[in-house]
Amino acid sequence: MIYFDSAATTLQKPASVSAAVADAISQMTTPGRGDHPAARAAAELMLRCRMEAAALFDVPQPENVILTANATHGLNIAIRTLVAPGDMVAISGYEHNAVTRPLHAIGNVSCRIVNGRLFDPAQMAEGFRKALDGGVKAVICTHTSNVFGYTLPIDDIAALCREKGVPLIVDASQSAGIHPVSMKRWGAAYIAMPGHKGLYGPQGTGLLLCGEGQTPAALMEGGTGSLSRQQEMPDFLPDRLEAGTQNVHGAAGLLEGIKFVRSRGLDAIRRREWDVVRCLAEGLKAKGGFRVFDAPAGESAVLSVLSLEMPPETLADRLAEQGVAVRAGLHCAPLAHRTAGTGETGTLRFSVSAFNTPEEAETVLAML
Amino acid sequence: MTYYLLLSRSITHAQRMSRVLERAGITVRFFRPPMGLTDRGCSYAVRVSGGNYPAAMELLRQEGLAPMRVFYAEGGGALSEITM
Repeated sequence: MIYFDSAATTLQKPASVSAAVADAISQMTTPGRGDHPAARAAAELMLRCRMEAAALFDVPQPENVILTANATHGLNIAIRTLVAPGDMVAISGYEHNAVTRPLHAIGNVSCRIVNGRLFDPAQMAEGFRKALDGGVKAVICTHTSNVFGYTLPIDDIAALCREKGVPLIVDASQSAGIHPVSMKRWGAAYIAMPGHKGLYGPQGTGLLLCGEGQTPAALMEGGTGSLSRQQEMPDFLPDRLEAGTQNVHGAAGLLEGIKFVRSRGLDAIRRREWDVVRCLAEGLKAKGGFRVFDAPAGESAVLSVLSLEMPPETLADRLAEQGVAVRAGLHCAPLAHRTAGTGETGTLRFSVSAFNTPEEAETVLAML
Repeated sequence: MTYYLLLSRSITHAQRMSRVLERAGITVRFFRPPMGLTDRGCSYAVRVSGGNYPAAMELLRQEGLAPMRVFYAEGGGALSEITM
């Protein structure tokens, strides 16, 4: 199979990931409960995972790295902490349902949706400048669109938020492990990301990075192995957000995935992925019969296209029959499609990882 | 032998205290202390020898990892709390 669906889940992982998961299942229990070697090993692993993530994402304290089930989990914590019924928030027009559905569920939240042309970061930054006029309680913004691979000007948006004193939540689902993501530089309130995409961890893992001074609301209450006589959740991290038995084997795999990203380097990963995306984009344009939403050079690991002859789902089905995995549809981001004008059709999305090659792209082009 | 027990708020806190101290050459071990030492329930304690206590506390304060409470143990093992 040629796998081009890494924006959903990376399928090819470093071999160390599955080995670490297997080791953890057979050798580790849960940190902070028993105090025997199997529990200690789990505690050591969880701390190493937090420290490795803190180093990659410029988080000053590893306690502020929360192990979550996925990016959606982290986004729900962040959004429900900062947004209450009646509040106004500013979001980009390229958000995923992981952002828009929690906002909808809170109820009576006014959303200023900052629209802008694809791949026009200056226009997007200016839109956020206009949106932050004093009434906005929080900004929630994706770093890279999961549909179009458009990387938003998050440095500028973060600077605006700091200037205006508005807390920023970043959805780094598509950028973590590809683009630099820095808590220190952005000064964000929260940054959420999955473990199973660009960090090459197993499904069921994710990270929520908490900014300095944040006291997040606990989505779940329960045992933490700390302050057990107290019925309120601990007010310190990570315990406040990690009630119940942790996904230790998932964290073991995630740790290895993050180590892989750090050892290979973001620049090298991005270059490799861009080589594949560029090959696909240029090949499709040369072939004709496609609308190609290609990002500026080096920006993206995602490529959305529309065939002028058949719906995305039909084309994805044909490719699947030939052993090529892609995704068609709205990609859980109807807002992004509305903004880009593809709300009626959705798109066909190719999304690559560090394990893909331009030769795979050439093979797929020959099938189209 | 005298020693001190530095109470942490969580296992992560205990691990980080231990790492900072071990990195500075201060040998420690951490463990679950008797419930009688903690008024709010489960905790961890990092054990430091009497001679290393001042340097350990200074390091932990510098790193923002100061313990929640500190107990002093005399040779016989009786513990008394140190006011911080």
